[in-house]
Parts: sequence; C-alpha cells; structure tokens
Amino acid sequence: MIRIILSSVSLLALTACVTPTAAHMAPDLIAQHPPEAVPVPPRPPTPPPAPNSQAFARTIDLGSGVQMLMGQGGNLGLSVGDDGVFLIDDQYVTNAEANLAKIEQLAKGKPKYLINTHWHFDHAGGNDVFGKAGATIFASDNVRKRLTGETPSTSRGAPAVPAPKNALPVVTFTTGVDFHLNGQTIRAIRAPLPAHTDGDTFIYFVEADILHTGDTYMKNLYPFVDTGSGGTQAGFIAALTKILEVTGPKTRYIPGHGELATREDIEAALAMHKGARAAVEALVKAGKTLEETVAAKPLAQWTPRFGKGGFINEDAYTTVIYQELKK
Amino acid sequence: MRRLTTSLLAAVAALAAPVAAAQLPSPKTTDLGSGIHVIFGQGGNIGVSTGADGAFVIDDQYQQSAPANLAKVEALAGGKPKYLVNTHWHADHAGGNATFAKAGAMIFAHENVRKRLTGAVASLGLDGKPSPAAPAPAWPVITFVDGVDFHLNDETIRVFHVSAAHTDGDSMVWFVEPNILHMGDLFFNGIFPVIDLGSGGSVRGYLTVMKETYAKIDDKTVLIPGHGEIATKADLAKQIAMLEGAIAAVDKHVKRGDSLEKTLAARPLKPWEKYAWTFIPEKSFTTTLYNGLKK
Repeated sequence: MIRIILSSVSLLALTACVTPTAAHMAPDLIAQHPPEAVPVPPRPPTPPPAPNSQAFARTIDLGSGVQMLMGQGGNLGLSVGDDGVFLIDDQYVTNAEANLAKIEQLAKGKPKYLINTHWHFDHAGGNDVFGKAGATIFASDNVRKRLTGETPSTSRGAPAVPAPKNALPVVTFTTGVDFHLNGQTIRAIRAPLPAHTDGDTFIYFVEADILHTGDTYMKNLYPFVDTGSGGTQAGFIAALTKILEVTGPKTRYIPGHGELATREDIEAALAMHKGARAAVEALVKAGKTLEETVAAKPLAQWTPRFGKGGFINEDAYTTVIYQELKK
Repeated sequence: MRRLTTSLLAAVAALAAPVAAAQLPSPKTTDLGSGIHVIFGQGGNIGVSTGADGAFVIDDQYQQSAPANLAKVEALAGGKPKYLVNTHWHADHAGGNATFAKAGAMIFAHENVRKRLTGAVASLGLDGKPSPAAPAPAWPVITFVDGVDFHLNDETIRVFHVSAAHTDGDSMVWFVEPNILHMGDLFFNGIFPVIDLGSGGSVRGYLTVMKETYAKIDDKTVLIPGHGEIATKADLAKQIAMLEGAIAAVDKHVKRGDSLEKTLAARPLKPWEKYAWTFIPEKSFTTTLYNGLKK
C-alpha cells in the first residue's frame, strides 16, 4: 500500500488491500465490484500499475539485527542473527520471488520463521513462495481461516480463493507466541479486538524496543476498517491502547504502511480514533442520517493530519464509524 | 520426573539410568494409525506424527537416550524431526532437547518450561536447592501462554497449557481428527504420579486438571500417558478415583493437625499400595500429598 500512499485515491489500491485475486484483475473488473460499506471515491484518471515484480526498494537498519524493508505492499520487518532469519509479512505474490532473493542476500540465509500480521494479499501474498522456500509460517487462527476460505471474506465482490497449501500458516495462535531468537524476545501479540481485520497481530522486538503494528496503524492516515474481514473501528482503539501499554517512550514503530513512527504518532492516532468515534456518536444520538452525518464533517479537525493521503478519506472513515455505531 | 522432589533417589545417576526399568515397559514402538506413533523408552512416552509435512515430536526423554530416540523418530518418519513440543521441563521429557535441536527441530513449550530450563525461575528439589540450568541449545525457541495449533500432516494438532498441576508449565497435545491425546505427566497410568511441588505443581490442581480432561474426552479418545501403557477414558477414571481417594485419606491427617511422621506411620495410602513403584513408593507419594495439602 505504499503505492496507495504515494498515488492518492485509487480503487485498485483499495481492492489490493483486500482480495488475493485482485492483483490479477484489470482495474476495470475491479471497478465493477465497488465496496458496499465505503463510499466509492472518484476514479483516478490513470489507474496506478498493478503490483509488479520488483523487490522492496529500501532497507532501513534499526540496529540489533532488525531491519525495516519498504517497497510495494506492507512494510516488512526482518531479524537477522545466529539463530536464523525471522520475517514479518511478505508483500505480494507478484514480488515474492524478488523479495526472497533480496532477503537471502541481506540475511545470508533463507527465512526460517515468517509471521503474517494479517491475511491481506499485500502482506501475506508471498506466503506460497516463502513457504516453499522452507519458512514455517505463523499467524493468528483467523488468518488461516480466511486464507483457506473457511471464514468467507465478503469485503469485495470477488470471493476469496483458497490459498495454495504452502501459503497457509502452519502454526496458529489465539493470543500470541514469543520467539527467542537472535538475542531478542520477539513477542507476537494478538490485537485485543478485531481492528483492521479479525486476525490482526502486532510484533514487538522487546530488547530492541521496536514494534511492527501491522495494519492496525498506517502512518498519518485514516485507517482501513475491513468490515468484510471482520474489522471494527472499536478494535483500532483497543489495538493502539494495547500497543501503547506494552511499549515505552522510546519505542520505534514500523507501521503497516508508511514511514517509521514514534510514540507521539501512535498517541495522535489513538486520540484521533477516539475523537472521531465520539464526534460521530454525537450525531448518531442526535438522530442524524448517514448523509447528514457525512455532510456535517465531524472529522474535520483530524483531516489535516490523517486525511491528506491514502484511500480512506474523511467521509469514508465517517461512514464506517456511523455504520458500526448504528449496528 | 526429576532430580527434584524424589531425592529418595536423589542421585543424579538415578535420573540418567533407566530408573524404573522394572515397572516401565521396555523400549518399543506402537502405531496408533493416522501416521501417529508412540515410542516407549526410558523416560516419558514420546509421541510422533509423521507425514508429508514433516515429523512432529512430543517430548524427547533423557539426554543419554536422545541419539537412540532421534534415530527411532527418523526411522518412523523418514526424515529429521521438524517440530518438537515439550509437555514440561523435566529431564525425562525434555532432556533430549539439545540433541533434537541440533538435528533441526524447532522447539515449542509453555513459557514456564523455558524459564525453568534457563534457570530464570528456580526449580527446587526437596533439599531446597535449585536444579542447574540446561545448556542454551536445549531451550525452547518458541513459547506460548495458552497454546498453539499445528496444521500438519492433514491434522490439527492442538497444544494447550493447563493450570498448575504436575508443574507450572504443563501442556497436553491433542491430535484432533484422530482423537488422540498426549497428556504429558498429567497421567501416570496405573502408578502413583509425580506432583512436583518444587516446580510449581499442585496436588489439588493435578486432580482438577485430570477431571477437566476427563470431561473433555470421549470413549473413543486414545490417551497417551506421560508414563505407562496407552489408555482409555475408563483407565483415566480409575486413576482419578485413586488420586481422589488418596487425597481425601491424607487430607484427614492434615486437617487433624497430624505431623508428617504420624501421617506416614498411619499408612493412609495402603488401599492403593499397588500403585507404588520404584520411583514413587507409597511413602514418597504420601509425603507429596501431605506437603501439597498442607500449603
């Protein structure tokens, strides 16, 4: 989704966050399946390119053997050391081979441990390639259920296709697991409530004091609440509250998308989520319709920071909160 | 079991040796179907799942017997073990960890298993002295609080932690589809169990977990005990009845304020004396129950 951030509103990108099949579809096809819960943003004059085969472009060394890898799709987290290569997420199926080759070069070995922050194909799309290369894939129980199709994901018109066997997480958990590797305690923590999806996990390198948020946080962007994958707005409040609880003042945060973040960034996002919910709730309680609520621009004060990029604009986020509160 | 509480046989040599060779089955392998095998040997029973996705192993007995057990696993599975779960930290179950890790196994356990193997939490024997830490290669690499599921060899393998019982880091492993449960040391089939109070175990907790397990399984469940022969729900019922009766018998003395000596002299466990074995004679188990109930 870095592409999304760079290229502003994009239907293709919106879909790319959600369905594994979308990468192979022409933008026109995708446009025939607009989301139901989110107002359709205007179609850009020139659709951005589909995910390509390029490996991640940037490597940011965070010390303690931990690196943040940025390219198309979600940000990757990498731990390298004597005990083996540990990887967080693997972006798209289209660039998995290139990512694998580049990681092998960086880490001097194949990934042994791979953890998915959630099931979306810009984060877990490379699972098949990495699984075949020998990585043991870890994820929350619901990630596996959505990849197998046992739990249908209904966010878009296209049904989720069962992922190939090697793409499925082999070890699943409900609340989390700890890895003791490369001199680090690497703590995978299940989000307390469904947030971006119903299978979100964030990963904390305890000693290095670095946390990968998955898509429970995208730097300075309104969130994508994937209601079709069980996501909830309340879950973002719970997730960021938990993240602030387990981390400290000097923690560095690898967002699901966007640049490295600080505690202030997470605090600001949490305040925004809480404030946005309260503002929309006031209008719901006043008996306003969805149209009236969106027209009242209840999120105006947060839009300068959170509504200037990405594909979830102020109105879209207002709509998601409204619909959740009306349930 | 361990160097710990049973310092009757406290000698470390007793640990390393086939302690209860007379009572325990001689080394053999049983095929339970669905690619699942049990290796009976010197220490705790080893469970093995074999198949296209790689060998999954439950426990690895003593360090001394690890090479032989590793060879057995390889012969059964046609390859090296990929995943290994420790049901708890004791040396007759996790003593082979370093050997299996060197062969490439990824070791999983409850977080308290790692804490006890690293020495971060002391495990005390009856003499009050902590057990030495295990070498680093023996430490579980992946730890959990409540459990994990493996999706392997066309099976769901559910590893779940139970509340303090044999130790404070016990897990059971359930092969869901074939309905086979490895109970770790929550089941000593037909013999007095070890309840390791020096590793966070609990007498009443042990009985509670046995009863919870009994309620969860059905008549078709195949039980792999930590020690002893393959069992059924009916066998577990007998073991529960023994423990419940034994606890009540010793608790009478504790409630009356009898000393340990007086309690031992009264032989409250006489009705269950056939459960005594080399490693846990009647006197030893009476002492454990007395100390556990007195807490």
